[in-house]
Amino acid sequence: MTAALRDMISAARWLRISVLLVGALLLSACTLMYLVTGGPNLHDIRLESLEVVDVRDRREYWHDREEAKSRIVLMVTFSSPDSLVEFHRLFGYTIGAEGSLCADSDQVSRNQLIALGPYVYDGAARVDSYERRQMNLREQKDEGGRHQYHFFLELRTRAEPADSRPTPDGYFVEHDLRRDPHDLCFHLRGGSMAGHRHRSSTVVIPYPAIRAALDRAGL
Amino acid sequence: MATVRITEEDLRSAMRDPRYWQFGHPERAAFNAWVTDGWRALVDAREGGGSAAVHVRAYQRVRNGRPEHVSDYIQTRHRRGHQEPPRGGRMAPDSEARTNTEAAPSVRPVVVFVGGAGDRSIGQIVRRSWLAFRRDHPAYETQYFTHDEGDELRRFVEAVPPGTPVNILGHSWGADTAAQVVAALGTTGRTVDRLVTIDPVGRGTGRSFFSRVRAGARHWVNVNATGGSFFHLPNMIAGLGRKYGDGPREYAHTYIDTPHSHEAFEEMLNIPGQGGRRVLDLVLDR
Repeated sequence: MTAALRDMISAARWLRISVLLVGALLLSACTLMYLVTGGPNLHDIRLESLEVVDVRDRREYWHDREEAKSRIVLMVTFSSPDSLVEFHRLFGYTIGAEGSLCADSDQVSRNQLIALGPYVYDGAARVDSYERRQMNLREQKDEGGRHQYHFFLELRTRAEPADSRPTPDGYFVEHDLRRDPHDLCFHLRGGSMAGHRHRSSTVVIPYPAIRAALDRAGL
Repeated sequence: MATVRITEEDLRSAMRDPRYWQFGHPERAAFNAWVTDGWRALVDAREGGGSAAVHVRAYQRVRNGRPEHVSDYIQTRHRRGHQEPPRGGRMAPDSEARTNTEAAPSVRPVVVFVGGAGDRSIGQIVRRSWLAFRRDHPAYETQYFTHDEGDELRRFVEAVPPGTPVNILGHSWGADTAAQVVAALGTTGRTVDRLVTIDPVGRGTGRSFFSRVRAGARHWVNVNATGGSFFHLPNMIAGLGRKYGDGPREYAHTYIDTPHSHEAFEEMLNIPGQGGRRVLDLVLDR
């Protein structure tokens, strides 16, 4: 083997090692940046409408239509400038809704939770489901260029711990939409298996809007 | 039967009592039943236009099959500086407790969900499913744990009265925890009815281990997610954590390969299993 050939092999080896090292450094830097800065959040979530529906008629709610059972709930439709389906697809985030009686400064209160969701849907499926990712659906936007989604709010919440692990907060309160005149607050939250979490801005559902929706349904 | 006057505040206070939430507490089933009955009475009264307080049967604990005065118990705990007693001790005055009857223990089938890493506070893949299950299946006693709560899970199962069906569903590391607990319980002669491991991840694999898992469950369903590329983040994390993969194929009573990716827990519960029944149907025995 000539000296020139040996030099070429050696150079190629060093080049390969260098590329691997640079790649590893870049990957580490990106990961570190992601960990330090955290992932993105959803902002500018807006309440669009409230409607009393029967979940039996909501195809997106059921894995198996034969399982469909009747239950009257309040469908809360909201909009986002960002596509939640893409948000999930890009970052691997789960997206759920969490709500409560509005606490001071209109925030979600973990010890006054109400039963909703916990899933968020578009017209086709749960936005963060495997099934939804497999659907090659073009997402519809409203006239303002915003995406619309919804979740289902139970008419009545039973008081119980929100979790099986005892915590100082995290309680559902006894609450009946038909009877208790409270403004409600909700936000979207979730996270990824990489350990990141997100939380959206909080949205207020004014009680008069709830009452009006219930009145329209004769409740 | 003696009765006692309760309000919503009394019931909220009762729900913070260890007898309500503490796993394995000897009074948990009876106390839960009492609180539930209280809420029902209160809500029914309100819907009927009634007051903010109702009279219900007084709670009385039963230890070793014999009734005891609850107020004695409360006072002892109070002296020791433990949990605050229910407001004003109104729930079971001495005079009422003496004539009480024992609350019926829960005999509802038990379904336990076990989430993987970060499930409780971050991804909530399994926790959301549990919340939905709790809402949609009131006929079942249900609990939620995460993968790092193996001891709590074991104590919970051990505290379930014999003869009550126990079903455990776990995902990812939570499935590994569920399998470890079932294997350990099996060696003590305590088997569970159904164990469902959804794309389990963990290092406790091997023929001997799988054999013990099988022995610990009357029916073990294992679902292996094969969909998506390795570079899909949840698949990558599962891969790095060491998936069971097809290891349980010869050991699980029902073994299913599915083209879902690792995080699709809810979907994998709903895929057809044995005899075309969904995996969840196997748990619900329908």
